[in-house]
Amino acid sequence: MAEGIPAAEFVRFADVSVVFGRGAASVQALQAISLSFAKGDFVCIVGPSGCGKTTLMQTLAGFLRPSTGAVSVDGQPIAGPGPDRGVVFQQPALFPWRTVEANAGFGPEMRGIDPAQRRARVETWLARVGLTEFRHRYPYELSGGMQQRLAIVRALVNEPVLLLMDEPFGALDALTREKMQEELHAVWRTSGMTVLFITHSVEEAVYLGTEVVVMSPRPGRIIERIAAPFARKEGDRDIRAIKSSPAFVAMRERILGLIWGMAEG
Amino acid sequence: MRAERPAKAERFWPITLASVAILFALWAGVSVLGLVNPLFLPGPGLLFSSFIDLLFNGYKGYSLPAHIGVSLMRVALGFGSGAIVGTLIGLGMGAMPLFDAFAAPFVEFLRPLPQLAYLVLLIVWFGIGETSKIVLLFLTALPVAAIAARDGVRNVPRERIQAARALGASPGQIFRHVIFFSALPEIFVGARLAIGIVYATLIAAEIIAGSDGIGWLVFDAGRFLRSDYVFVGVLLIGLMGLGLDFGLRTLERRVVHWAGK
Repeated sequence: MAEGIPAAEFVRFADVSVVFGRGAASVQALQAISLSFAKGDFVCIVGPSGCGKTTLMQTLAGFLRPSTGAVSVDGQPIAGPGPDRGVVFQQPALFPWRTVEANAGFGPEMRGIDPAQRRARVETWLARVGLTEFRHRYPYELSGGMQQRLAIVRALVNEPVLLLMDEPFGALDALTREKMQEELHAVWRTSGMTVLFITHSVEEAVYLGTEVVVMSPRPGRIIERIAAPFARKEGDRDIRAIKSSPAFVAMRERILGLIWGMAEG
Repeated sequence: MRAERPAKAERFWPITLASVAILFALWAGVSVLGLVNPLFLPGPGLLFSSFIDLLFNGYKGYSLPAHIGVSLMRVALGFGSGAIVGTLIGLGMGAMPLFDAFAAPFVEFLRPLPQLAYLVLLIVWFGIGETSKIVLLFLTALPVAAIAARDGVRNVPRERIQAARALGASPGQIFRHVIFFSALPEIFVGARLAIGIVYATLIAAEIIAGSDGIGWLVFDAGRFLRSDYVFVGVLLIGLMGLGLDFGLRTLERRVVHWAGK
């Protein structure tokens, strides 16, 4: 942690606005977003389509420069994409000409990290998500869930301080999705990584997040931040039990109510 | 989720075989019954003996393999150089808008231009020897390959590049390790398109200016009404074309095994 940076401001969006286009045709995608969170947090952003969730993530990833305001990680302003921030998209965006193994090791390979160390990391992560036996296969030989596991592994092998995920499970079937949620939760729990997670699914957000941020559309604003206790819950981690508990259902319904309210208004 | 595709024609190979066999039978029947003057349609027997004749005695000073060889050599040199230079130009055009603006008028002008329209200019500049033919084929392949490579670069999914950037790849690495491979399937499609046009152009070029090559053989035999030689030549040209395309397709499947998956 850099000196003088409060722990709760590990990631900081300071008054971030994004405007696309110019003049009459311009669209304000984000309006004065201020949001900070601590190292180790799992922050989920939910909101209706067009609320600028992806735009917000892109400013943190460094793909998009805010029109006004600033984004920083550990006190360092974001100047562009970097290997300290791993990104996972809804589509796995793998490199189809590379084997599973070579996809996983892409980051360290480009960054010139010692091959022995690279292989060790790749091996560890592939084993962890059950892809070891597929390491010489190509992405098109994998199922959608395995492809997305590989995309996550590819980001993690780089050992980022932050993991940015833009609807990573949105294209998966319900069963695979739930399994992936459990796996991601386990990875987060054991690694202590900081995650910014964008999703359409309120249930997913309440299950995975230490905090759920609700955004409103056009222009994108934060309307509520809700601390969620389930991700840090100790003991029985049975996913169905957690998701059907009264406290979980109540929080889920409350957030859904907020989003429905916006849709009607 | 993949949309249902019509079954591939390869599955029905007996039908393909049957259609060739029926045509062959018709041809043999017509010629055995003497229904058509052999000048118009030489029968299989005559064709075979003409083929043997060409094979052992050659045609006008060159053996048949020499005629075929010189044609294939022209295709290889013209197509090879044009496809490589065109691909490099196209990769540059796709990656650098400034270079695209600079090169686009030449490439776009050259592409639809009928090759035979400027063949005479090439003969004036380079003579009637090999150079003018190879330059012609080079100029034929180049724009096709360039535009395919440019489009291949332009069509790289944005998230694939963003993923590479976020993993720490430099712009140069992204070009070499991501953009180039992403464009490779389209480069191959362009190459197959180019080799077809190059091949057709070669035959035409040999007719207009030449004294060897399989295209010239057909043309010259036609002038002397040796329709048996013409038929042998046309069959060989067709089979060679199939062979070239098959070779390139096999290479394509091996190299860009991920394409379309």
